[in-house]
Amino acid sequence: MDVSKMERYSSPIHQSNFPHFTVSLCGLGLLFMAYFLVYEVTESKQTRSLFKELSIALIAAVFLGFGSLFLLLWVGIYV
Amino acid sequence: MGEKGVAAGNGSSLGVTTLLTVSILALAWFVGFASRLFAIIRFESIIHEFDPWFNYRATAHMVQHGFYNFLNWFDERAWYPLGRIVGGTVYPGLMVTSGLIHWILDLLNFHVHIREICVFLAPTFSGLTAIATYFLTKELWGRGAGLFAACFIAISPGYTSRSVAGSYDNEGIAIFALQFTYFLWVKSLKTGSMMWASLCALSYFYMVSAWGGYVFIINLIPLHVLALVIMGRYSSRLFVSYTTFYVLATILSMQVPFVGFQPVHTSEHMPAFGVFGILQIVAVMQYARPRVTRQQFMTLFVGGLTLTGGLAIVVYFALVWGGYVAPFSGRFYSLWDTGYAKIHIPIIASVSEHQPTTWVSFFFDLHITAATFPVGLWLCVKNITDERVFIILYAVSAVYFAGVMVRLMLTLTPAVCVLSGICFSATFTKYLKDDEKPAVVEKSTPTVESKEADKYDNAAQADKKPITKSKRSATADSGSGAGSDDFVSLNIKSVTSIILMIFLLMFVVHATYVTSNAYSHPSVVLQSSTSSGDRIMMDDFREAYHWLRENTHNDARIMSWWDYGYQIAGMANRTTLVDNNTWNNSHIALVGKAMSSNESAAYEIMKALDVDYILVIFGGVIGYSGDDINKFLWMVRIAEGEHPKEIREVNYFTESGEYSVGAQASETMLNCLMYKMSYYRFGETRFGYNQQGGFDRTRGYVIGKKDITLEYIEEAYTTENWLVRIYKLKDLPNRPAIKTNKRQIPSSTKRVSKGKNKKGIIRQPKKATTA
Amino acid sequence: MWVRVLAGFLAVAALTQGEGEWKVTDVDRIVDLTSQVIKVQSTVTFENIGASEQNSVKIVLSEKEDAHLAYLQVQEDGSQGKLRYTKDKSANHEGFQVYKVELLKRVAKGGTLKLKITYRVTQSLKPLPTKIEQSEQQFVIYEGNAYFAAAYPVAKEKSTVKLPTGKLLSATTHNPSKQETERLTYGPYADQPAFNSKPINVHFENNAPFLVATVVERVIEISHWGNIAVEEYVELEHRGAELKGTFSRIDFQMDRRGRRQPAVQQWTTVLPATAKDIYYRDEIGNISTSGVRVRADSVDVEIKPRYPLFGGWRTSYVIGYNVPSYEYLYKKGNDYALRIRLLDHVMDNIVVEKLTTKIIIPELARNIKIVTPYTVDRRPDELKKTYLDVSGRTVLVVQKDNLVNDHIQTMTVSYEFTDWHMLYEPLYAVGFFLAFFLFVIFYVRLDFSMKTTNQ
Repeated sequence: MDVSKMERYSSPIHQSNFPHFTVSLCGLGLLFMAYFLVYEVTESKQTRSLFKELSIALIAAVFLGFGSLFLLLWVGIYV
Repeated sequence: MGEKGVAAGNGSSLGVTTLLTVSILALAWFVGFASRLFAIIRFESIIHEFDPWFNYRATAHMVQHGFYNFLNWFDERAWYPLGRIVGGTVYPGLMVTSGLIHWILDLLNFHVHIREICVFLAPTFSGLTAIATYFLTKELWGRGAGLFAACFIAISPGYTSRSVAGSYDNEGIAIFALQFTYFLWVKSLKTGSMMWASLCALSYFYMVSAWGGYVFIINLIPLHVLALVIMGRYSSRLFVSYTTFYVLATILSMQVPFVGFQPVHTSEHMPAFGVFGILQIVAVMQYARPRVTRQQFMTLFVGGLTLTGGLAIVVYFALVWGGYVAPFSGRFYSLWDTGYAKIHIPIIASVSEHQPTTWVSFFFDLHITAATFPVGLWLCVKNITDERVFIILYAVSAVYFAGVMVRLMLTLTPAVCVLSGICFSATFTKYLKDDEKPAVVEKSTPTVESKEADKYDNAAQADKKPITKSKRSATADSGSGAGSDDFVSLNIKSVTSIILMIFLLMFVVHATYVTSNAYSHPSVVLQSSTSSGDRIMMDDFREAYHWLRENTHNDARIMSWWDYGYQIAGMANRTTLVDNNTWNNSHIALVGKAMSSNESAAYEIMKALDVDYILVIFGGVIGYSGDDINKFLWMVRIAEGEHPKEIREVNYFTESGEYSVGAQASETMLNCLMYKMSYYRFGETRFGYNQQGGFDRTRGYVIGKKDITLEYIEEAYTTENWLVRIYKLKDLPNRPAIKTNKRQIPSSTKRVSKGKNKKGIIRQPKKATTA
Repeated sequence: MWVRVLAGFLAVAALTQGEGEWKVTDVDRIVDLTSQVIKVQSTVTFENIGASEQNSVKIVLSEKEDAHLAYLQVQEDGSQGKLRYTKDKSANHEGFQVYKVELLKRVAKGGTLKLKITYRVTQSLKPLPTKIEQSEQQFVIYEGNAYFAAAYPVAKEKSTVKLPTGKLLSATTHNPSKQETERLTYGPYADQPAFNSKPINVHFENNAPFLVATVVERVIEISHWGNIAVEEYVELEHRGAELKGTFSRIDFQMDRRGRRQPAVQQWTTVLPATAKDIYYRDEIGNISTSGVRVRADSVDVEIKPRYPLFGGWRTSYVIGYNVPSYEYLYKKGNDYALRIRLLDHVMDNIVVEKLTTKIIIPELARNIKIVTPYTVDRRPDELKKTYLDVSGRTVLVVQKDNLVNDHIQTMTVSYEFTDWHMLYEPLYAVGFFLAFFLFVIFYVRLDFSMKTTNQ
């Protein structure tokens, strides 16, 4: 492969955006996790709905997962 | 996560309460973690002090070689030539906890070096301690008090002092185990359930594996049981919980190799056994009482109790006399008789942490909580229940012990935080409600789940700033039942609330200030500032240890005072003679004798111990006051304890009886090895053009003898600020050199010059005639 | 029979190919002894006196030089290209090693060829005396050749030996030779035969740092999130004259010699210009005695070890930094290429005894290839599992012995990687959190009560 024909590679998300992504994604993730906690605590066995639990959990997990990735990148652990 | 379906209140209130509790506890964990990180941010992530270095080395050994090799580890690189059976003389809980966390993280491919885990273990567990304290106080009083107590203990300086990041010591996890065990004990007492009592025993097992202070638990809980029995508060719950706990706890505690058979062999564990017996008797009494007439009951009660009591005492003393049960140990005696250690065990007396506590320390470590915890204590006394007896006993005994030894301030801090939490919660419950009509309080016994109040103060809305944590504990619980009687005007209520909140804010400021300034020194790196404000780091210790590590052969043996043994073993990775474990007093006395004797006598001792290098700490160039010359008198005292004929403390004083290294110092002092090693070539240093050479900055005067010659040792390395000086032992010369005029050369006066015996002729052997 | 004669003639001709084909008309040799590495640069003019045009020429190094040879470069004077050379094992001359150099274009009969030969010899300056006290200077001895060793007769030659500042204790003279301050001249000599040698010994003061890096482990980690992390672990040993006797701190502090003493107190490591997050530590913690100066085209780190290095003393440290990926990583479609230095600057005039370079390539990369500027040993690939990995990352390992600063050259590592594989990393994190939530959902459905009540 001819290196002179290649372009320089830079990250899909610029380094200066890492803090913003971390704070927003982790914040949303924590918000949904709090919603999940309140839901689990207040509902009794009869009023609980598995679909709602799973959906909140999924959204929270997605936000927290991506947020923690950007947290790692922001701190300097380039995974 | 929260009570499930028990609260009869509306669901949303429970949800908000749970969310608030969880977020407050999470923030308390985060704040506790963050406030312990000053040393990491200022310097680096490194293990502090001395003892943690041994714990780190043991943990590193366990991670490298596996758990069973760690339990069976015989360390031949310490206490040369004796070695140390590490597996049997260490509390493995700390190492196992770190090793377990390391293993779990490795499984997730989060490779964290074991040193980082060791450094950050104590701050992590401080958060867990806060959560355990929350649960304990919730059982004792209520949720609001629990949150207050959790926040207090997260930042309280008494606890932070021993659990900053880098202080990898047993107390970091032991206080968590202590609080958790107490919470489980109170819970099992309240519910009378065997499950909780068994969990309590398991938590006690973790505590035993973590710290030698488990003796406190195993004496406090029986004391509590005894107090309840005497107060007439015996119940079947008490019987079930204590019996289950005692049996399981004793068996589990004997699984730790270091403890071994101590629970049945030593006097410190006997009270627990005694109370166990008493409890069985009382249970029999309670069982018999409804089934037997009063007369028979009285004879049974009086006769049986006196008989068994007398028998027990006789048997106990017989066992102690026979040697089957060890009498109380010296360390235990020194808690009761403060003068005991100085005479009999000078090593214990020489440690600065074992000195009695001053009033300043109480305020420094506890601040406002020292003033508010008697209030909490009084509230518990006034509204006495079974579990509140426990906290009263805990507080009273902890206060006594904290007064005896500075080190035991640590055991007082959790009690103080719990009781202060109760105090603030009860006060705020009364004073934050701003309704005019008397509050509708439903009488609730402490054993039933408490209800939440509906009214929140405006200022108590969730405001997620760590400083204003007091504003967030809005859930006030009805601990007392008499809220409707006292009617206090609104003005007084507001003023009192505001003043108390100011106190709380001041507490936070004080705690952070104390943690930052007083308790965040790694003591491996020294820092000072120049006149222009620049920061100078004096990394002499690590400089010397790295030099030892790279430039001495792997089996080199280093002799130094026992303070530095763990650091040398941990950082320089070399064999040491004595270290901070101080289990062998005679060996330390031998090292002390070598340091105090003159060079030739010391050389004999050092050669007998196979020493290669000697290390001394000398602070005279920079004014460091923790150096070996300042500790020298203790070396002499310890040596005198074992070798009273050769070393006498009085010989090292001046004529007027002072301890000095200046011009008036005694001959023994000026010729001892420690003096020579510290001040070798120091007389040539000058701090200014007009100053005299050899001005010792720490002592503040010029030293007595400046031209020092070393005969048997030579200087191997001195660090940049002369803080650490390393000397190498010279080999003995091949032949001892005797002066020419003292030699005796045998010469024969007879000279043979003729014949076969003339000198210079080789005599032929006689030829054998037979073939 | 004629066939046999012809075959024999051709064989003889083949054997003597080169011998007698060239003549050296002029040599200008400069031997630089100012540091611990012997640097020799010779400008040699050859003349083709053979019967036909030639496409190769032979150059000669002494056996002692060849044993410690670190770097050899032959260029045609004026052009940049490096000529290929091979060790000629057939020709056996006592005390010499012959190298055969392939020329780029043939030299016609009677034509001239001007070559620039540069080579570096390591660890050949022996300290004498071998042990010195703290206050003494360090003297080393250089064993060389007054003549330029060549495979052909030499018409004219001249050698210059450059010495560092300091005393010259002794130098072998060989008429006509001259001794000046910091320079010895040998020659000019005329009409010397091939494989000529006249041993010379130069005993002189050399206070340059005689530090040998016994181990250099260089780890380069590529991250597709925009960063390349480089970490080097270096073990240094002072191979100059050993310290005899004691080390006295007060004598060291009052020593007025400054940089002119054999003990090494600090050196400068030159890092790439965009290096940031630099850390300098060793096994027992961070070392605070260092300074970073950002310059126009590099970042200079002045490194001071924890203690000064005297003869026979050793130390070890780790230095690491981050560089952004756009400096060194190239991409086209699914192909990626990393162009980064195989060995980077540790110190001026350092000798590296053993270099191990490891390149950690992101997970799920395929078809990994490496092209190095000089021969290295390629060791089997390792596997490293780190943050957010499941199958592990490939680690390329290459090793080489006996390197000098001339080996600081770029290598190319190429691999293929599909772009959306990068998403796997956050998805692992998402899976972890999801597992936790699912556990909670499962836990609240469990019933632990012992009695069945109607509550």
